[in-house]
Amino acid sequence: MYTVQSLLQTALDAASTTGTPLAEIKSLNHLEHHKVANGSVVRFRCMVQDNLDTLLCRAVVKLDPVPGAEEEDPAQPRGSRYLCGKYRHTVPLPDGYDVDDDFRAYSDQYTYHCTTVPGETPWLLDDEANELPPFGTPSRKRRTRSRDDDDDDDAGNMMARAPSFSPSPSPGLGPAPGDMDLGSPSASREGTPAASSSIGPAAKKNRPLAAAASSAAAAFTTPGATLRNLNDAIVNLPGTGAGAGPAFGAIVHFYDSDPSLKLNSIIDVVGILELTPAETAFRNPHDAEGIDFYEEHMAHHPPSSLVPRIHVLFHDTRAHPLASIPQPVVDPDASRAALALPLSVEAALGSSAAAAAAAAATRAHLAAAAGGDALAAEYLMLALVSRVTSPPEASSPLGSFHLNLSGVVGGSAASLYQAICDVAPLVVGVPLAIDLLNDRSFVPHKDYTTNRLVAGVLQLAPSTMLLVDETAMASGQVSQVGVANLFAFATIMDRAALEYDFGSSQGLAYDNITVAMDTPVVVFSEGTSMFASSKKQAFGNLSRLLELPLEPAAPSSTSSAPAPTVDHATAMLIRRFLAAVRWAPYTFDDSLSDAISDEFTTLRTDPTLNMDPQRLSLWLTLARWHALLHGKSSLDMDSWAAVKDMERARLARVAARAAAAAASS
Amino acid sequence: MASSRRDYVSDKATVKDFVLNFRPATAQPSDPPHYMAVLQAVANRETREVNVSLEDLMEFTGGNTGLADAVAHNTARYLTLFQEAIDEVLPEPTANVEDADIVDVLMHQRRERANAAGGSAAGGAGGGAGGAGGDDGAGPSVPEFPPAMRRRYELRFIPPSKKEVMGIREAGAEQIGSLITLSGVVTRITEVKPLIQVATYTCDVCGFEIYQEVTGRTFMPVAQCPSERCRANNTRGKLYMQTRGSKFVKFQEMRLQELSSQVPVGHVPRSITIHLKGSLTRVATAGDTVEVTGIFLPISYTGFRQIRAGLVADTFSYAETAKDAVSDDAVATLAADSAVYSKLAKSIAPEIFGMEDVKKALLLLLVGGVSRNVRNSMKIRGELNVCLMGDPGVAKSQLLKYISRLTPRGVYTTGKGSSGVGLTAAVIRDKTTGEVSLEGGALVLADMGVCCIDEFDKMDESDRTAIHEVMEQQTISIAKAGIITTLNARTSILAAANPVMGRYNRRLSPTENINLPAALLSRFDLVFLLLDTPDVDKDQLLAQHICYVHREAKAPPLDFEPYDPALIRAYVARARECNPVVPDDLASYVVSTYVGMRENEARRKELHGHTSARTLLGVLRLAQALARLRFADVVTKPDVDEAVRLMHMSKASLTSDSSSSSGLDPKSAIYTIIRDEDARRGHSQTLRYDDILPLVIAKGYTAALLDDVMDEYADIGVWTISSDRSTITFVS
Repeated sequence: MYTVQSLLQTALDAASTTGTPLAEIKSLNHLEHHKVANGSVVRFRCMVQDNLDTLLCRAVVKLDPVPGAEEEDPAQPRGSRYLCGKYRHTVPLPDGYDVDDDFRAYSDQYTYHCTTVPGETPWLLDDEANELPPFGTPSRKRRTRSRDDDDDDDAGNMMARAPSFSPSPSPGLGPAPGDMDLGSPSASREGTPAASSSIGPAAKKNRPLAAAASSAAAAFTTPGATLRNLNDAIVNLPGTGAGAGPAFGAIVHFYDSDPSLKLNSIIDVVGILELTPAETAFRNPHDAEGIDFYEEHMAHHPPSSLVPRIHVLFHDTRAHPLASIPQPVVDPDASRAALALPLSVEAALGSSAAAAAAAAATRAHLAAAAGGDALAAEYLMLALVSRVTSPPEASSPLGSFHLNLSGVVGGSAASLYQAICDVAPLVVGVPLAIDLLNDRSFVPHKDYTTNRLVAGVLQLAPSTMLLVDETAMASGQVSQVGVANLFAFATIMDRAALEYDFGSSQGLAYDNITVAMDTPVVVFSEGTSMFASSKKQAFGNLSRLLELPLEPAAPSSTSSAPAPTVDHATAMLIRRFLAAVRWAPYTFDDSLSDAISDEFTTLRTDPTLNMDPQRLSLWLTLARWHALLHGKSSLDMDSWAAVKDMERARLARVAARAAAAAASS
Repeated sequence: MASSRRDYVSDKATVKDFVLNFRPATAQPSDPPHYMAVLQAVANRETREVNVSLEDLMEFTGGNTGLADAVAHNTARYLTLFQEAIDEVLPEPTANVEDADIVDVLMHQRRERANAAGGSAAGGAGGGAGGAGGDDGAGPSVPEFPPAMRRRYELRFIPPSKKEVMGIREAGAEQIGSLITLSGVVTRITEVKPLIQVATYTCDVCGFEIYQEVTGRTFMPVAQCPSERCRANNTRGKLYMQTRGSKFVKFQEMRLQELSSQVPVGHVPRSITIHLKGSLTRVATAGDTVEVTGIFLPISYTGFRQIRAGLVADTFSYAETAKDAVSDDAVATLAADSAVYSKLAKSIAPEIFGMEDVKKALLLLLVGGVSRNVRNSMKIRGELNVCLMGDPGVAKSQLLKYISRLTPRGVYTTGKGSSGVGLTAAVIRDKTTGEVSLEGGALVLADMGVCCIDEFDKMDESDRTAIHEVMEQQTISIAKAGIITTLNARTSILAAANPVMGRYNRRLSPTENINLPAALLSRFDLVFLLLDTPDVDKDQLLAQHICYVHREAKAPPLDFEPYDPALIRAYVARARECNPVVPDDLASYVVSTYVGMRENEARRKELHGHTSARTLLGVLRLAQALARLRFADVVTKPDVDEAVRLMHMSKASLTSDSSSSSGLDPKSAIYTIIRDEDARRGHSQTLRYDDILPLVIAKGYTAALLDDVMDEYADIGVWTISSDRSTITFVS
């Protein structure tokens, strides 16, 4: 059939042979939409925030000549005209024509509200600018990367462009933020006209680099201001709203078939941008007279200057936002429908040596941020690659675990935050400040007045690192909203899911919608986290939350010593490595079950371990990620033994800390 | 869409014939044709509703569904067709019609004027504008009364009863114009408003009347008088709208949201706008689950001319029925399975290893016993309360959470962590208005459901006192801030508690380990003690199970396919509709069993025994729940036996720390019971079967097992059995 898609596909195919990449299509993630002309084809990587009601549009608009409107030539009466009504809200109405209302050819218009993915780290935009995800047909694997050469040329340059690696506040990996402002060679790039399209994003980013980095760090410590802006119901941004690029939402229309997108999934769309004031009819309440559900109409037709409309031509669902790592696919061989990368970690990175180097670099990087604590670095690595591996209907999630780094004092929370931002694509930091907690509900809820899902801090895409800073808590009273917010964190850590409020709190007898939340949580706290406290158990027994007291190898005074510099290539290697490990195929050989079971029975008698079935399950989880991090694709006894040692070391630290606390009190 | 173009003229003839002559197969020959009877009632102003059943239409066309299909696919067109046909055949009123409405007044005035004009053309210009120039105003172009003005009925189509109910997600552009049935939850509904159907204007110059039929939500008023006279004189008479002369219909707009069962996992519900007109207004309120049938039509908000092409929102015309939607054949097939009890029990949290008796108890908790309201407002609760007590890490919390998710009104809370509102209720003062209002806590929210309370032992003292009331009286009394009231809390309580020191201490007695007062403990029908004791064989199995889960990312296959939570929910809902009774002849059996339990306890001098009248009620509740599971109306003996067995198992777990009693195999244990009984009676050597059976049952064994033991030991010559099996005599 002759469709818009096929037309574009042909055009793209033709273009790609002549060397013009799809990258020519502007990405809204880099450019604010008001810098793109109305009607342009754009790319947008976004998260599904809400599913709006399916609309109807006129697939074909029939235009009839208005009799007598123009001087008509009787010999040549004007005939009716037909226009495509899809992929746009407004059709140009030529003079002397009028729309034939009786001509009915309707088509469904599946509508979603999508926002920029919450917690995107600055380097992700660079990754995006350089490597374009393959689109559409699988045959279109990789496109020529026009800027590959540039990459190598100015690795140092890129280094500066990926500021996250340098200006981290305390353990200072590179030049101080001040050095970046003008001295960096990248600054010269702003003026380069050749860089207009694909460098555009980079150019845009160049200036606010330091600002972006510091704002990211600031977002972790004092995000109150940022957060309150989110109260704006029109934009309705999930997460903390702090991202590297411009943060906004768009109303995204799909045609022809229901894309059936899951809430919070990351999608890449290519579509036609529409910025039209006409869509925003009835913004004046005077015009809206007689319209029932006026608020709803307003909420669903926000000004397109704030919320652009995108009419989708292609879309792809993404398991991770990284462009340089292929997307996981459903393994055809496995009996279970599990998602996994079609290739091993080595293959994704090129060689096993590269993987080993990446692992070592990751370890060094994280250890530096943790003040030289190798154990903490190891656990952080495990957390960075962990994900829920069980199907969503399972009663307890497998594969995920959460970390409580206790003993975090001073600026080390910020430096850890920065270090994680450097390597993870999606990071959302939530400081548990009292006023923030009490301010608004973190859990998204359905507002039936506007018929919209009101985004909360905890509406996050899968695989987002959720960093909770308990050290930000000051004395004060937590309100009921705050308590509910704290419980939401506990629920995520316990069930890897969250119930979005669909009426229970609004007196409507409607089941809440349970949404999977595959977000590894790292809690920074001075003492034992309130979530992990085994005595009080105010939040229930969160068996998947592991407390690890930080033990910096060196006193904090030496932390400013020059840390190993990570160049851009290594940084990218680390990022790709972590993403590849997270989705790497994994097997667990049946023969190990017996050995582990035997060991379990003996471990049960060890009084220091307090080994119960949940702990066994946890250790198997840790062993999985440990094995994958060490370049193995299946569990072996080495990883099992390593995990055992790590856990023993961790429990010894916890016990020592508890003893010290008891002695001091 | 109909495959071929339909001939509307012949269709109209068929419709007319149908309205005039249709008699249902069940009708008496003397009855008037069905629809004519309805129309007569309409003419007599006795009804306003004309419901045309598509099934009738199919019956009339003799199984040829062509016309009925055409109606279902192009409903709006055929609605007009039916109206036209009905207008032609509408009979004259047979009764005296009083209460003249506006149409009558207008018609009457026209007739008057026609008479005054001396028999000129009927329907001259008239109205209230003083009647200037009535004679020459009546031209041939005078508009007739629009038919919509004269219609005193609302025509609706009733879809065939076997018509498929669609989810909102499935309705799309393909269904435009069709008659479809949707189900969903009403989330929002407007006030009833008047919607104009026919606008009436009069000209201030010539007194001419203009009628304008309005089909949409908005209309453009006519501004210029189109009458001959005004046009001829070029007076440009202004038109004024006559509100009294216009026809309005009651109108409501509502929002229907998908049922949660229709929403795919990980998605959010979608919704749709529904327009309700006439007698369908005020049939639903927000929160109702309804099925709505109507015509799926696009509506356009015509505000801006240039956006009309795209901005066509969805709409929906009228509702027919409002009823709860859930039915399941799967439940019936499941009920036919004899092992439904254990299979359903095993389907509860299949990932959690073992604990069959606990899961059975939880299943019974979901089903519940029968609540009875005795006279004098005394109430016997039917809800079962279960307490899981045990070491950390034995999956108590997981079970609780699973149950809270399984039940339609399940609430999971922790005794410690519940906030200001807590478990009961709190008085909240609104910051802006200063009004006080009551906000329900977990127990109130779980009314008619299950309240799962984790960390039960760490509960606040105030909540604990409230729990006492809830667990027996099923109410919560509030006396706070001037609000004195009693709230319903008809909830089953599923509690999980840790032993007093966190872990079970074997050196202490069970009572010392359980940190709950007896008054509270006795309110639980079943208390399970789940100990996490290292046991090589069990641990091995457990570890294998966990390894399997990690290997395959799913629970190991059971010996059967575990049932879907939705099916369990449906089955339980169906079971709860039964109200089984305990027949008289079984009552004595229950009593003797209870007495047996009391005797057993007295003999063993158990300090922690809580066998009391509450236990008896517990047995009855469990037995009723078991009967409900079979969809039975009567409790049978096996039900009671199983109830007692569960009761015993829960108590056995309290004492199982010694694990001495469970060391015996069941048959030896029964033999021991019989021998002890014989010894107690001073070796009378002859024991009555009826005396032994309650003792055996009370220990958690079955009557069948007792029969086996009797035969076995008779075979080896320990005792002899009388021919009617009523007595046992020891061989000395």
